Amino acid sequence: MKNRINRAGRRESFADSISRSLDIPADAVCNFAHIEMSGNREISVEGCLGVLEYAEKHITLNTGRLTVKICGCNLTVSSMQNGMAVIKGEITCIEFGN
Amino acid sequence: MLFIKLLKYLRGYVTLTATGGFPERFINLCKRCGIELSELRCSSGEITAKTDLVSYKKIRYAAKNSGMRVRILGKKGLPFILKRNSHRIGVPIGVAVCIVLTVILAGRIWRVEVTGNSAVSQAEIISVFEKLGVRKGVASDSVDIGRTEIEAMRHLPEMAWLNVNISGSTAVIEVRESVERPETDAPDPAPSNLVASRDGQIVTLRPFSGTREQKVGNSVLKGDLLISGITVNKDQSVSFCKAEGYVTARTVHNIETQAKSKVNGKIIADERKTGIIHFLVFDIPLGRASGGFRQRFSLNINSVELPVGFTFIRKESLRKTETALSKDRAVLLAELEFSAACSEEFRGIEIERVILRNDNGAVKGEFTCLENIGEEKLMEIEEISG
Repeated sequence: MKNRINRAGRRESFADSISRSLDIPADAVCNFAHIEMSGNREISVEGCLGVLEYAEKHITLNTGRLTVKICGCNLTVSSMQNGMAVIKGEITCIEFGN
Repeated sequence: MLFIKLLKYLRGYVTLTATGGFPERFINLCKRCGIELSELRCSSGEITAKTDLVSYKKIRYAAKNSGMRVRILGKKGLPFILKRNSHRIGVPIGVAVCIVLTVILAGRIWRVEVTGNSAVSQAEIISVFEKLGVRKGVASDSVDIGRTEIEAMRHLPEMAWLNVNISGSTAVIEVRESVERPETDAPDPAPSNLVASRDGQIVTLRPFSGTREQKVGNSVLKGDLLISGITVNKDQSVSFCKAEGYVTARTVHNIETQAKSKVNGKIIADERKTGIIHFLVFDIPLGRASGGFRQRFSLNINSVELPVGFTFIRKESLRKTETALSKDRAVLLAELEFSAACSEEFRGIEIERVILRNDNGAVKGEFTCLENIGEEKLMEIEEISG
């Protein structure tokens, strides 16, 4: 997909600009992951393609365009089905990477 | 969550641990192969997870390609329990019999209740419905409720309305009894006199209807006329009525009980115990079950009587005996008899004065009382023609 430069000078895709201009949720158009959190105890990541890193203190998920790093303690992957990963535990921070 | 746990338990699940190799690759391969891993934990490169039986059989490929060694930590669930007990043939047979019995028995009536009755007894209503087919052990579907209600109304004319509701294994018979119309045209009472029922001295004399024949202070004998049912009119003609009134008199009652040296009684010579087991519609006697004292015990759950119970039967054969009494006991017995006789004699009578004597074991009492001595006595009237 052809990338464009937006007003802020950042590179954005055609889908990004469509979703922004038509006010459509980005995860519906741009292949972004849909992330939901319940406090700091549970996080569900929809659109998870796999696990990149699994350690005691953090889990890194591949969501296609982004990587989501969930840090915390007692982290448990409660389920991982149909592209949706549910992680339970004491979440301290979430980091995103390209 | 509880439901999911129940489903997992029914399907059976394996707790596994995987060590060595690449945990991330193992998880991704599992995901690609459709292996459902739940409660996945990772600590120091060791993965602990749960998976169902079918998925566990496919896990070898993922483990081999990620260099992980998989070990089973535990197996839980119904399939494992069934497999463990598969050599016990009685268990599946028992379960099957239990299911079949439950299915068959659930569609039958095991309890009949009657509500709303007062004049007509419950037993009478139940016996009528038993004749019409609503009884214990009958299939609920086979009861024609509409026809049964109409037939029951014919057999129970005292009922104004009745209804049968079958709820589960209970048939509830709701009834409303009809109220009899009171008789308004009461027949004329037969003419009668009021006579003395005992000897005594009149204290109060209040005639309500009829003619006063005695005065207060008069002494009367038993059978003397107190209030006459004959009334003389102003034209010297005579009319008859039912004499009514309130006549109290001072009377004397003498009660005496004698002390006995011997007393006759009965003792238990032989006692036999037996019983009947009740199960559904069957009564299984454990011995000769006729006569005797019976006590039924039924199994109740949440105040619902189940068709399972036991009747305890006790049969006693009695033998006559004669027992000699000591003097003290004889006097005590005489006093007890005296007390019982007094309570019977003076019911509704006011006692004014009592004189008690104990004479050689005999208990004697003289009671001066106030009591209603009026007693109705029908008149014999003979009509003379001409």
